[in-house]
Parts: sequence; structure tokens; C-alpha cells
Amino acid sequence: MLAEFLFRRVFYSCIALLGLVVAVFLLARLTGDPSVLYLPDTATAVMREQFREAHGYNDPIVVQLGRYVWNALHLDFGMSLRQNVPAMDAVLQAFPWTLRLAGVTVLLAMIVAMTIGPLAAYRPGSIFDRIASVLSLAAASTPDFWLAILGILVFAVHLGVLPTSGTGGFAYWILPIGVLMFKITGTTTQVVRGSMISSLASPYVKAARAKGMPENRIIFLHALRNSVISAVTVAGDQTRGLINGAVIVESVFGWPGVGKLMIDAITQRDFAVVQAAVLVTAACIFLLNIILDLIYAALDPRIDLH
Amino acid sequence: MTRWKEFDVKRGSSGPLLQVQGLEVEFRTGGRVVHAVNGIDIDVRRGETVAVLGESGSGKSITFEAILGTLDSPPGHVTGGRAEFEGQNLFDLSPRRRRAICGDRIGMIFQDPLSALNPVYTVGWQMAEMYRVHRHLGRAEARRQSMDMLARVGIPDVQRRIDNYPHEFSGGMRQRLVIAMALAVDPALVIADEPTTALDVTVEAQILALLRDLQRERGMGLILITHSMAVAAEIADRICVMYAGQVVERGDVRTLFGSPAHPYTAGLLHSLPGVAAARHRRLTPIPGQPPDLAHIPPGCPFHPRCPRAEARCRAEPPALRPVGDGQREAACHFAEELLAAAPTAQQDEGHAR
Amino acid sequence: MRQPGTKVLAGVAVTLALAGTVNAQETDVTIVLASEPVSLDPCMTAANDNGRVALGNIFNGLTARNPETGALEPALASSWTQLDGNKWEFDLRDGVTFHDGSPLDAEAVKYSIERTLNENLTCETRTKFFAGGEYAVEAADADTIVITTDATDPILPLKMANVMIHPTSVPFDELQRTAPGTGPYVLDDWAAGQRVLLTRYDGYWGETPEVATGKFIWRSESSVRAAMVTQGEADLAPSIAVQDVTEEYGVAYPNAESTRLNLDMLTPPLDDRRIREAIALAIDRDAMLGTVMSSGAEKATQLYHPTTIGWSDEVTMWEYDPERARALLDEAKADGVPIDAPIQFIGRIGHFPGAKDFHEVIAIMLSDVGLNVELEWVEAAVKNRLQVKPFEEGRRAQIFVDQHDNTSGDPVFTLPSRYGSEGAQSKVADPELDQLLKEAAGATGEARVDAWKAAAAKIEEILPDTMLFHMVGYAAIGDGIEYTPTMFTNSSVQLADISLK
Ligand SMILES: Nc1ncnc2c1ncn2[C@@H]1O[C@H](COP(=O)(O)OP(=O)(O)O)[C@@H](O)[C@H]1O
Ligand SMILES: [Mg+2]
Repeated sequence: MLAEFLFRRVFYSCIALLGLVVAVFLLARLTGDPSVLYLPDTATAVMREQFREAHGYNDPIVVQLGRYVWNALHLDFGMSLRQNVPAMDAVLQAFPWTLRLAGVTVLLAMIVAMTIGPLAAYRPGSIFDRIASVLSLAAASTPDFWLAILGILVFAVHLGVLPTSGTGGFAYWILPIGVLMFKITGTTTQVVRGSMISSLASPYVKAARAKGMPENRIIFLHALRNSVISAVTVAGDQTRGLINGAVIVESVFGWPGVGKLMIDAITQRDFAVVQAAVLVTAACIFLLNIILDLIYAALDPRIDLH
Repeated sequence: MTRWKEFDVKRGSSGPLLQVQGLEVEFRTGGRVVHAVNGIDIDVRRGETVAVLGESGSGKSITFEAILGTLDSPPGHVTGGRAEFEGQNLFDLSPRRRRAICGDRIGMIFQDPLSALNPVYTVGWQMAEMYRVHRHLGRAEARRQSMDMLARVGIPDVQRRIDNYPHEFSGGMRQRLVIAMALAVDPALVIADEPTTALDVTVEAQILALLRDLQRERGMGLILITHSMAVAAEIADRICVMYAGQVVERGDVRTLFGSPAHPYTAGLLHSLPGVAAARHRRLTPIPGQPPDLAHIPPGCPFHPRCPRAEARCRAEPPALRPVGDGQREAACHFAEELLAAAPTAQQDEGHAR
Repeated sequence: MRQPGTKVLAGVAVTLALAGTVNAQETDVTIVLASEPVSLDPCMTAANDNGRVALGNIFNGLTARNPETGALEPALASSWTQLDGNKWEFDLRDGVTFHDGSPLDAEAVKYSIERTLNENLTCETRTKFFAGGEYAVEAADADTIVITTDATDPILPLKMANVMIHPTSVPFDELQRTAPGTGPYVLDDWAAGQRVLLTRYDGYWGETPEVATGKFIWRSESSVRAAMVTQGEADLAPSIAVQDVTEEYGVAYPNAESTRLNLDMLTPPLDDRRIREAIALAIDRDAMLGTVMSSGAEKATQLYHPTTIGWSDEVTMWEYDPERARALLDEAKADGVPIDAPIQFIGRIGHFPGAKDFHEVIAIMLSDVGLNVELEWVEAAVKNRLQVKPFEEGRRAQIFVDQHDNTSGDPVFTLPSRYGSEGAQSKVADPELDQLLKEAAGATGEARVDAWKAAAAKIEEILPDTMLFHMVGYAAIGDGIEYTPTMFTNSSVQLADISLK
């Protein structure tokens, strides 16, 4: 049954990926004549024509698409027009950076949210709850960019305890993760708190109390288990967002991730890289979705994998 | 009060198991105070079944939540009264000790079994935790005893079904699961809050039969909360009628249904005329609405809907007092007149019983 | 950035600044740029992102421009002469070796030039400097190269400053990540997305530079780049925004960029010269300086710096005169010019620091004299498309703010593409001007200077645009190094120009 589920999901994901590749390809071509976008404005019409000819942009779009898909099926995703390296290499080099950043961020955010959320929910309206709610709301709505710059000014410039940006040892991870965590922790805490409040008010918690179960057992076994499901949902959404590229944080901190790569490739009209990046992130998100579904099924017996 | 205690109850043993006196519960929400329970007295003895009867919203559930300590607080607060269980006032105990009595000495059965069961744990797990927490049994022994109990309440194929989740059971089976959990560690008192309201008619009869059998077998006290006269008549030894958070009449089931001494009880009965009462299982509403519990009218709370209401009813709240032959109590200024005026109802009810 | 009076913090900052100094004493320098180079292929150095790292560091051309005077100086060619109108001879410097050990010879130079002009490659250098024209390259002997052009090319030596020389081992038909050069630095490591590391090349033909290793990193935010310099994480940030300049670390310099209002003179009402003159008179440049424009900027009359040959001091510097502007509009209106017709004022999102206020102020000034201007913001790619032929059919009249840098020293890289009838982004089609441009492009010496001046006068007569400013840039320079940014800094940051304290 599990094997069948996996097979089905992977199969549909592949079809969706193919559709995505076609859509991105067409969209990229719709943004205009690559020779105008790619060549400097001083280039002559002759040069533009030579460029189009050399890169096959004069062929009908269907031919171009067919060629792209055919090559993609042979795991050839084209060369980066700008960087002169295989587009897929550029993407696969950047992707682990983003993945690691996203993974650590979401993990830490989950831990914080799953600690603060239930505690705040346990006594709604208490001082702790109010402080936690205000802080998590503020965190959830703070713009990344502003926070990143502020973080650098405070921790790197004024306090001098952290490097401003870049990659390297442990210290270099703190600010980017801290900034990314802010919003995710805020959002997840709010969701966990909300779902914890409704779990704690639910009839089965009342029933567990009537059954004489101790309070910590009620919070952490009866109620939290149900809230984990919603926490996983938000965390999943947030992870998807991060995999798509924590563009702002990556740009500000000079983090060599896929978000930055993709934005650069878009501004440079480096189609092959954009396509490869979309393909890899989409594949990763499909994979994540499958994993999330498996986690849901493990957490909530009412979910049927069919 | 003294008379009530002297009642000779069929299967009852000596002293009361649970004795509630003057219980008051308020809900305070945003400046509004809802007086949900207003000085309730209820007694239950070992081996006895007491039905608590009343329209929806009359404070039945809240009364027993307050006693069990599962009231949502805030907004709910116990503002007065005592609840003596096996000789100790539950309201004097620390929350921890009180919680320890729940489940162990007092079992609770809820109206909607599906929502009372945790959807993400197997029934075996939820059953076993009763034995593990209250009896400190190991995993294997808790499971073995769970299976016995589940078999006792009529779950078929327990070996396999024990590892199923609540949503994989039918409504009737779920209520059996909840009953099994409530009775797992052999409590002295079981409170069943409308245990059959969510079930269809044939299943209802089975569940009531199961409850009656278990009660006889174990000699526990049973409080059955219901808004169905038929259910009350079928299973109870005594009846306690509630209106607006107060007991308006109580007494032996036969006496009370035979000749009600309170216009509210009478209204409930008269709304089921003659033989039809046997088929009409639910209370047909009495004209008018129950009072807003935030603004309970002065005097008798029932007076706005009462056909007999006079000036006195609007001013002077009637006390719950022994009436008639002393087998019952009623809270009505005109209880005696009412008893004298309605001799025929007793026969009708005789059929129904 | 640093709070005065917070002694402890200042102390921390000093400590870190000292850390930067220590770093410098180890003769390593870190330079933080706004963006990563895209390619370090020798023929892609004309793109500033690439040139900043590669030009003069990894690669040399036959000639080079003096960063201070702008004068053309020998580099890999020790001398050059014009054999006749269409023929130039370059003598190569002796004893130069490429990073791969092979010697510099005429074959390599010929190969480098031909590869740069290869139609199968999209070399920035070709598209930027070699639009049109045929070049035949011959190796006369091992040390001499002769370039023959189809038309007279008086500034060929200038153009050669942009053609980077590499060995013949570099594939001809394929762009590379990088290649061996003759410069003072070798590409040691390029961790994509993270840094480019250049180390000193022992076999360099020139004077050995002080800096042993140059690390180029990039951060998109100006404030982060500035902070890295104050914190000693970087020694040089060649380009930062004015608001990030600190007294201690900030330096202003002319960054070679010039701005203009590019007017759509093909569409009413901008097709009437009086309207265009009214626009020139409507802009209060003095009020913009020090408010929406850095006070270090200079008012411009031409789109290239006064150091450029043929820059004319006879072109009118338009003074703010809204009364006269309104009078011109009234006059035009009386002649039936639809002065109320809506004009799209198209800004490019994030064009330059402070671009938003800059555009808004201009829009207000134009509305003030009575033009119906609507400010719209578009992405860079959209603006580029709108500005290049073929122009949109049936468009409303458009105004763009253009920014242009010509560090080559000759107007030929500015004027023909913008004002010639064949120019890719030109809306002018004036045979007389075409003739002047053609003459100027073919002239040498004084004749060339005069011809460009004549072209400038003709352009003023046509008035296809309104000149605004020569812009300034700001650099943050750390305590550990000495470096003087110039108008070339934007296109090449030469490690050899950096000295250590
Ligand atoms: N959480 C609450 N907040 C305010 N009022 C409540 C709350 N819960 C119950 N009540 C009040 O208590 C009254 C009695 O409720 P309940 O005991 O559940 O009635 P029932 O007799 O149907 O079991 C309700 O009519 C309602 O007005
Ligand atoms: Mg109820």
C-alpha cells in the first residue's frame, strides 16, 4: 500500500514537473526577445541576429521546446548562457546551501514554537501568553530585509560579536538563521498556540481530565499530538517557501543559495539556469510534499494515503 | 432534607455516596455573569440510579463538570456549595488529589463518544492508560485488562479491534468504548451525561441495557443526565428535575411521574398526552423560552412560563420542600393544589413505565 | 553608522578595525562588490561585473588607460603606429608570459582579437566596442601585429585597451569560466556564489604589486558592504550608497555615469522642439543637487565626461526658467501642438540609489510648467526593450531617465548608437548629423576633436534629450589600505593600485 502510494505520487509529480518545465520555458520566452534582453544596448541588429541564430532562438518555439525537453530527458539542462557552466551544475552547487539553511531554520523554529506555543496556550490571557502572542505576532510580521539589516547593525557593527555576512564557521550561520527563524517561529508559534488552545478546549481533553489523567500527560500526549499536525502543516509551508529561495536573506548575507542564483539568473535572462533551478526546487518541493503526507499519515490515523 | 435521606430505595445501601449541597456555578464573560447553577442539592447512594432531567441549558452538565473539576475556568467558577464524595468535600481537595479521584472513583460517560475519544490514539492505548495511571500496571497487564473490559461491554473481536482508532468504530460501539473506559477501574460512582442522545433508537436501548446491567453487576451509583422522560422512566430509581440551574422537583420516579407537584414537571408530562407518551421519547417543549441565565427573573424562575403563576410567584422564590405524602420534594408555592388537581396522570404514567 | 559617545562600542569597533589592519599586513586584501562576476572569460570583461575583477588583474590589453589622466599608455604593446588610414601596427612587449607559462607572441594576440570578434560567441567586448567594421589581424612577425580595418578606425589603439589577450589554448568557439592572462594576478579559486580569490603571479611583466592575494566577495546591500569595511571584514567597497558613507571610511569620486532625460521625439507632443526645450528649462538642476542628487554631482551638457576628447564647452548649460518654458508651451499650443497629450515618464525600479525621489521631483517640475506627465515604474528588462528598436507602435510619448558611462575616452561609444539614424536606441534620423558622426568617427587628432564638437553642436540644435548630471559614486576604504577610486573603478578594481599601510 505504501509502495503503491509512493509510486503514484512520484508518477504524478513527474508529470507535474514536465508541465512545469514547459510552462517555465514558455514564460521565459514570453518575456521577450532574448537577444534584446541578453545583449547590451550597444549591440547592432546584425549582432542580435547572430546571437539568435547561434542559440537557436530563430527556430519556432515548439522546436525550441521540443529540443529542451528532449535534452532534459537526457539529463542535459543546457549551459548557463552567462556562466559557461552546465546550468544544472550551477543549481546543484547552490541548492545544498539553501537546503541546509532551510533545514536548520525550520528545525529550530519548530523546537521554539513547540515549546512556547503550548505554554502560551495552556493559560490563554496570562502574562506569559500575552508576551508570547505579541512577540510572535511581531516576529511573524517583521520584514526580512529590515530585520537582516538591523541584525547586522546590532550584532556585527555595534556589538561586534558576529560577522556581518558571508559563509564560514558556525558564527556565520547565526544571523541568517536568526533572521529567517524570526518569521517562521512567529507564525508557527501562533499556529501551535491556536491549535493548542482548541485542542485543550476540545471534548477529548475534557474527557481525559475526567478520566483522571495528570495534566502534563494531557498537554503533551493528548493535546500536543493533535497540534503537531497543524505545526507540521505550517512548517511544511514555510519550508516550501525557504526552498523556493530565501532570496532576501541570501542576497543580504551573501549566502550562495538557490534563491540568489535564481534572482540573478532572472535579471540576467539566463534561461537555462532559471529552468534548472525551477526544476530542482520543484522536484524538491514535490519530494517534501510526499514526505509531509507520510508524516501526516503517521500523525493522524484518520488520514488515508489513498 | 431529612425526609429525603430516609427514603427507602430498592437497591440503595446506607449513606449517600455523593452529596451535593447548595452548589452554585457562575460563568463570567466580559462583564456578563451567567448563573448556570443556583444552589443545587443532589444525593446518590451506592447501587442507586438517579436521573437528572431538564431542558437543554438547564445546567445539568455544568453541575457535574463542577463536581468533577473539569469546568472551563475561566470563565466558570464554583461560587458556593459542597460536594461530599465518600465523606470528603471535593472542593476542599487539592487539584491533584481531586484529579486522582476522577476516573478512579468517579467515572464519566460523555454525550458524544466520538469527540470524547482522542482521534490520534488507538482505543487500546486510551483504555490502557486508565490502568496504567490509576492502577500503575505495566503495559502487558494493562492491555490484558483492557481487552477483558472491552469484551465485557460487548466489543466484538477485541483481539483485533483493540488496535483500531476511534473513527473506525460505529457510534454505538464508540459509546461502548467510552463506557468501558469510565468503568475500567471500577469506580463507585458513574456519571453518564446524555449517553444515548447521539445514538439512534435501537442502539439507545442496547446501551441503556448495558448500563443497567453493569450497574447491577458492580453496585455502583449511577447518575444519568438526560432530557428524555422515557429514558429517565426506564432506568432511574429517583428523578431530579432541573430548571434554570435549580432543582424544582425530585422524588421517586413512580411518584413523581404519577402526580407531579411542580407545574414544570406537569408541563413536561402534559406535553406528552396519554398513551402517546410511550412513543414520544423526547420532551415536547413547554410554551415560552427558558430564562436568560444572566437575568434570572425574581421570584420563581419558572413564573413567566407558568400557567398558575400569581403575584406571589413573581416576588417570592419558592424553596424546595417536602410535599404530599413526603415521598418527594418540590419548589412551588402551589405544590399541594397541583397534587390535588391531577389524579389521572398517575395511571397514564403507569403505562409508560 | 557608528554611534559617537558609546565608548565601549567604539572600542570594539577599533579592535575590529585593527583586525582589518592585521589582515592587511598579511598583504591580503578583501574587496566587497555589489554583485558576483558572471564570467571571467577574457572577452567578457567589458561587462562591469566581470571587469571589476578581471580587468588589469588577470588580463591585460595591448594598451591601457592611465587611471588618473585617462591618457592611453602602453601595456602588452610597447608601441603602436598608424601605418596608413586603415592599418595599425603594434609592437609587443618582450618577456611577457601567460599564467600558464607560455610566452606572449603575435599569434596569441591575433588569436585573442579574433576570438573576441568571433560571431559565435556573445562577447561583451565585441558588442560594446566593435559594433560594425571588419578587422583583419596579421602576425607580421613574432613580436609585431598588424590590424587592418575596412574603414578608417582612428581610435583602434583605444579599443585595444578593451581586448584582453590570452594564449591560443583557450577554445575559440566556446566561452570559458576563465582563462590564463598576463596580468599580475592569477585566478586561484572561484567558489561560485561565495568568493573569487586572486593570487599574485610571480612572472608578471610589470612592477610587482604589494597585495599578495585579493579576495573579491559580493553583497547586494550597500549598507552591508559599508559595514564590512567599518568592521574590518573587507578593506574596500568600491561602490556604496550615499547614506552609508561615514566620515572615516567614505570617499566620493566621479563614477563616470552621466544621466539624461531621453525624450521620445517621434511622438507628439515631444516631436516639437519647443516642447523639448521647455523640458530643458523646466528642470531646476541646482535645486536637485544636494537634495535628490548628491551634492558632489556636476551638471552635464553632454553624456560623457569633460575628460573625453571632443567634449564641447560651447553646448548650452540650460538654466532653470519655468516662465520661459511655459511661454514655449503656450506658443506651441497656439500652433496646434497637443501639449495636454499624456506623456509616460518611465522609471526603472532600483535604477540608482535615490532614483525614486529623483524621478518624482522631475515629474513634479514637468507638471509644474504644464506638461501632462504620468510617472510609471518598470523592471530593467522592460525599460531596455522599450528603448531599443523596433520601438512600440502607437505608443504614447515617453520620457526615460538614462544613465550611461563612457570610460573609453571617446564619444564614438556614446553618440552613434544614441543619435545616429542607424543607432539601436536612437530616435534621431538626421542626415546632417549622421554625416558629422561618420566624419568624427573616421577622423584623427585635432580633426577628430573638432568633428565631435560639431556633432555636439548639431545635437544641441536637434535637442533630442535633456542632459542632467555627471554622477558621483562613493567608496568605503578601510584603514589598512590606500586606494584612490577613479572613474575607472566602476569597471575595473585593480589590485595593483592598492597599497598597504
Ligand atoms: N463556557 C460557558 N460560558 C458561559 N455560559 C456557559 C458556558 N457553559 C455553559 N454555560 C451556561 O450554562 C448553562 C447550562 O449549561 P449546561 O449545563 O451545559 O446545560 P445542559 O443542561 O444542557 O447540560 C447554559 O445554558 C449556558 O448558559
Ligand atoms: Mg448537557
